[in-house]
Amino acid sequence: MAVKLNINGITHEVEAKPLETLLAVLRDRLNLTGTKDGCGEGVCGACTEPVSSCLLLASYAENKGITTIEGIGSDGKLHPLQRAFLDHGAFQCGYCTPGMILMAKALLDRIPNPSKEEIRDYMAGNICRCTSYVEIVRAVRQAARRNRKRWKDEG
Amino acid sequence: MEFKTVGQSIWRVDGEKKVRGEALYTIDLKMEGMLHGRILRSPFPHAKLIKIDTSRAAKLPGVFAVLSREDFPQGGPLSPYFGRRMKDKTVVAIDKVRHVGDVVAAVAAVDVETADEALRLIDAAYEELPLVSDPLEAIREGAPQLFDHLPEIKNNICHHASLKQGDIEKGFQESDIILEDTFTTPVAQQCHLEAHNALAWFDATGRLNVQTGTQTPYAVRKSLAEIFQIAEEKIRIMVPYVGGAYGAKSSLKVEHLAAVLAGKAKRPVRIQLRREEVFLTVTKHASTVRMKTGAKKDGTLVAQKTELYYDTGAFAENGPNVVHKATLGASGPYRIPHIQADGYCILTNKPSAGAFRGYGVPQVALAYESHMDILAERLGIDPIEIRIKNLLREGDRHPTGITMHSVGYEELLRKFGAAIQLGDKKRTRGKTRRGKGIACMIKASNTESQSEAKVQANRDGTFAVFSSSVEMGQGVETVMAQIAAEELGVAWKGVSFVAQRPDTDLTPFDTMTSASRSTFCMGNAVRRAAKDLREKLVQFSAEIMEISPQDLRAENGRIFAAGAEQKGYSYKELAALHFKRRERELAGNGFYGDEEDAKTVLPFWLVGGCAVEVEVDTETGAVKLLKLVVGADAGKAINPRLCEGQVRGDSTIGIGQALLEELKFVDGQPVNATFLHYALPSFRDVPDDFPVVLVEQPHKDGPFGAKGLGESALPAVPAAIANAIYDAVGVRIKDIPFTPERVLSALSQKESKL
Amino acid sequence: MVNLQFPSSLDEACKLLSQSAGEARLIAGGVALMVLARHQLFSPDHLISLKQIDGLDQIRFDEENGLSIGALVTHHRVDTSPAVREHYPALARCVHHVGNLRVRNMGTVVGDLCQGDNHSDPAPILGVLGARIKAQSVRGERLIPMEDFHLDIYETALKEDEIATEIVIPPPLPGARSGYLRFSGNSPVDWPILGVAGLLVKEDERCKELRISAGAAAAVPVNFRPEAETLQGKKLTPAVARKFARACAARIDPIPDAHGSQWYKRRIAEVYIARIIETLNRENN
Repeated sequence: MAVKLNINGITHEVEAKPLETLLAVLRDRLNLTGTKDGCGEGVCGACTEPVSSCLLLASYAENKGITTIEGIGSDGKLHPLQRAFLDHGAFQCGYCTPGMILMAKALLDRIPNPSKEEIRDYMAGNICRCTSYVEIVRAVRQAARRNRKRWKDEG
Repeated sequence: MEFKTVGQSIWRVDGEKKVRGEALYTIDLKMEGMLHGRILRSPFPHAKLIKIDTSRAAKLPGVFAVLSREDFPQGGPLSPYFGRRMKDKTVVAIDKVRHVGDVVAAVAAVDVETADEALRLIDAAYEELPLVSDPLEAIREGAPQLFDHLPEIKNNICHHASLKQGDIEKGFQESDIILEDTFTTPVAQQCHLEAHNALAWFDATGRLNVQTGTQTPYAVRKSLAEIFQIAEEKIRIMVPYVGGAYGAKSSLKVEHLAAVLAGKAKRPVRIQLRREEVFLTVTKHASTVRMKTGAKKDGTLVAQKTELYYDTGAFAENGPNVVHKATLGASGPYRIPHIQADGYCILTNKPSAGAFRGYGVPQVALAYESHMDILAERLGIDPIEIRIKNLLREGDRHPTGITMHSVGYEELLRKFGAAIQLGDKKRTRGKTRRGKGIACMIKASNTESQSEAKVQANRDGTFAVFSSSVEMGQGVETVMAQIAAEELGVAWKGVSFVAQRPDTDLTPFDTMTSASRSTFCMGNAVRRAAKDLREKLVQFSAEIMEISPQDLRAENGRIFAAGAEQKGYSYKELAALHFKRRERELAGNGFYGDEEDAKTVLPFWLVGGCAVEVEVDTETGAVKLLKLVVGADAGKAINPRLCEGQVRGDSTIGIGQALLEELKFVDGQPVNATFLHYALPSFRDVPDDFPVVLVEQPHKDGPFGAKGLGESALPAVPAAIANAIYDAVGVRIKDIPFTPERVLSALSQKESKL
Repeated sequence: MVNLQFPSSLDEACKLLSQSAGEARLIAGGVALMVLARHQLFSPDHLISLKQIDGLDQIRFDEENGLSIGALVTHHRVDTSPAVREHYPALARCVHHVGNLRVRNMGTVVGDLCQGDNHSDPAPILGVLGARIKAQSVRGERLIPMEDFHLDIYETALKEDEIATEIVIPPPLPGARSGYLRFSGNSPVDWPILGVAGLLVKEDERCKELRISAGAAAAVPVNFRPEAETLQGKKLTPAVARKFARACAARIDPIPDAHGSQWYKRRIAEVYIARIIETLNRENN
């Protein structure tokens, strides 16, 4: 079936099988391999978009603006979250990282000044096996501070 | 000693790629014409494979190759046998299947759906055999045997390790107090987020190429060479970034299936395991440890007798080495005059247990660190003091004969004590009770390993490090770059180090990326290579400046005559000049593992531990972590932020094992082999108060004094939590995970006794 | 090739479902279905998606009719809906615990109930709130009380040709306090071993009406009406609460599994039923 997807501002028309997931379309048809395949059952969050793209039917993603990790930050410039992840060592193998960043971005879009508790609660569905999550919480707090500072500066 | 780069928490060299989602893992790689492989697995835990007929599957349109035991005739071009310690594994089942999930056949087809359909068309018939599930039953006379034809295996035991010192009976006779307890740990799984997967193809010259996320590219190459019965050099193994491993990706896992299918199909084949298959591929050893400890009234340890029964599942895999390591370290970091430890690596009809961070030590550390606390309580001695009293110290002889060196236990224990305030008994009334506990652990790194590295000067002023150490999150590429930079004498800023990803055609030999050995072993190789390169650059400068090399200094990325820093050349200038003259490689080589290195039998000890404060809900038995202080002796922290990340990350797996994780089997069938039902630690399962203590007792043989610490905390975490639970509610839990039911059950039994 | 249909009206969906004679499966958010399909526990040939049907994604509240949650409303929308948070705060807090945020953004509450997994969080709280499920088919529509909705694990009272289109909850009882507590072992994000919902109306410091429903432990949520009736007119002291909880726990028939034995689950039921009464009693004062 023909499915029209808007990914990172670009429209793609793909021929998808009825039960093909958004994750499969992203990785196999559009070669956007930044979104990862971890468990296929919506638990680990490596496919965060910020929905579980491993469970979402591609047809359900039509007409929704989807941002993947490839759409975060711009050429040469890192998004404050990416920068914060680097500053705090908030990743090791990096496999969960695109999902974590997208989830954190969704959080900051909703709650610009989250407490540590709110960060942990919001992101509880994203699993990391390498780190202790402590560094990720710190990174999200830092990104939130930078965002607030930017807004203050921009008046 | 003032270091320029060593000791700095610089950004990871793979960092930007990873936060941008640009880092490539094996699972991201594709090739034109690539086929998809899927595996037919045994539904039975133990059965004879009576018949296998793949003809219907082979005829399905879109199927290019089907693999079964028919493809491995005696004396044919392919040998089915491989294995880490013994050749007990086969590419596909030949006569029997030995666990649910055991590989029976495989298919390569145009897509996964077609491959799955083909699997359904394979006719396999089995004759069930008696189930061997309890390792303690498996070793009895008359128990069903998993292997009949291997001389190394008898009574389902594929390895027996032993440690002896003094006279154990005399030791117990001299003891004032004797403890005897049995501790158990269940099957658990590494749960790396990137599932096992590999992409294999034969190129135009007939060489086998494999992209795979393995920790051991050279070992994989060797095993494949044995299967294909060709020279190792006819095989190329390449390793992109790896999405977590923790031991699960050492030695052959799926590479052989992809390779054999690729050879048969004459097209590239990609095999990617589904999450449920990962659980059935390699696990952590379940264990029963019986420990009898004798001590004097004043807390001096006198004797310890330990029996370790480790369940290695259906194949030996890394099991013998795991049991060996656990047994030889069974007495912990303590001075005990009389020791007898016997470890048994036992086969049962479960998926193969193998390497998992900690490598057999967590199981036995639970026992010895629980005993230290029980002794402390019975004898009225502080838990930290009783440990310090008995510690093996710098220069002492470990029961294995190895000298203790760089063992910062006392400093760690005192810092833990200060951080957790062990003596401060703040009890809560009501439904919850708080408690505190500590534990430490010792683990030997690897003996007899080798690493070679090359550090190359590029003509644009950058440097390249060629090393087969695999970047799987631990930050090895960054650490190697820092070591090279320090040795070369270049400042980090303004100079970039490019890591050549492991590739057996390009990066020299490395035994493996595991056992926390890379910082020490590959680090030494890289340091020696950087030194070699620096000397070559000095030699070259000497030629062009017409000065004796002895009069030259190499500092801050420049080579100059002593006293005339402004005259002289930067490394970048030297590289440019060199290549102008000759198109000849400008690189240094370094090797670790020669006779001189091997004189120190054991490169280094992993030293670490933790302290924890818990809160127990006395009505439900639930355990909550309030604070977890973790620590390790780094020797010298090359990159403190990476060290902290490793120690905390390691400990988080420890939290999982202590409180949450258990892979359950009922009648040999896995019950919860999926992320939906296997509880992994999440953001809400770790305490916010989670500091790291790094101590540095420089190692005389480590690069700049550094040594590994990737496994230094995990083994102590379950024991510390057990000790804290006892402190909180007075019950001693000896079986992990410490589920609420276990705690409540123990509390109920305690109440009913009162 | 799977036949995936997107009817644009409820009538069309009911017709398609009826014509399929029990062979087609309905799909809303698709979370449960995709997980089952991925585990090869179920191979759909014919799926009817509700996604494009207008009007199923509404949350509606008014003082007279109470709350209506459409079949396409996600857990997250129920969690964050101002109407739900104001008038049925326990329901909002309850759905906050379902799965993880991604699942809550995709999965629907109605879908969750229709799945019939006994480890579901929302069923008990909907039970004590007096919720009913509207079921529509070519034969008409009916309202199924929550208490009668779950028959067994993965088995609901919905007929083969019925579509659950909304949850209807009566307006809040004046003076009532409701709450939901869940116990999931050592990890707050794990499946519930037990989820207990309660609703309490007091008069002169005494219990006027108490509703308790415990889910996740047995095959279907258990209501404790007979036991609750004995508390009418009584003061809910800790001793009374504990006695009541013990009686309830004795009647529950927990399924032993990886999360706990029968003995343990009964103990947890006893503890948590007492705790919910304590919580509701406190709030009332």
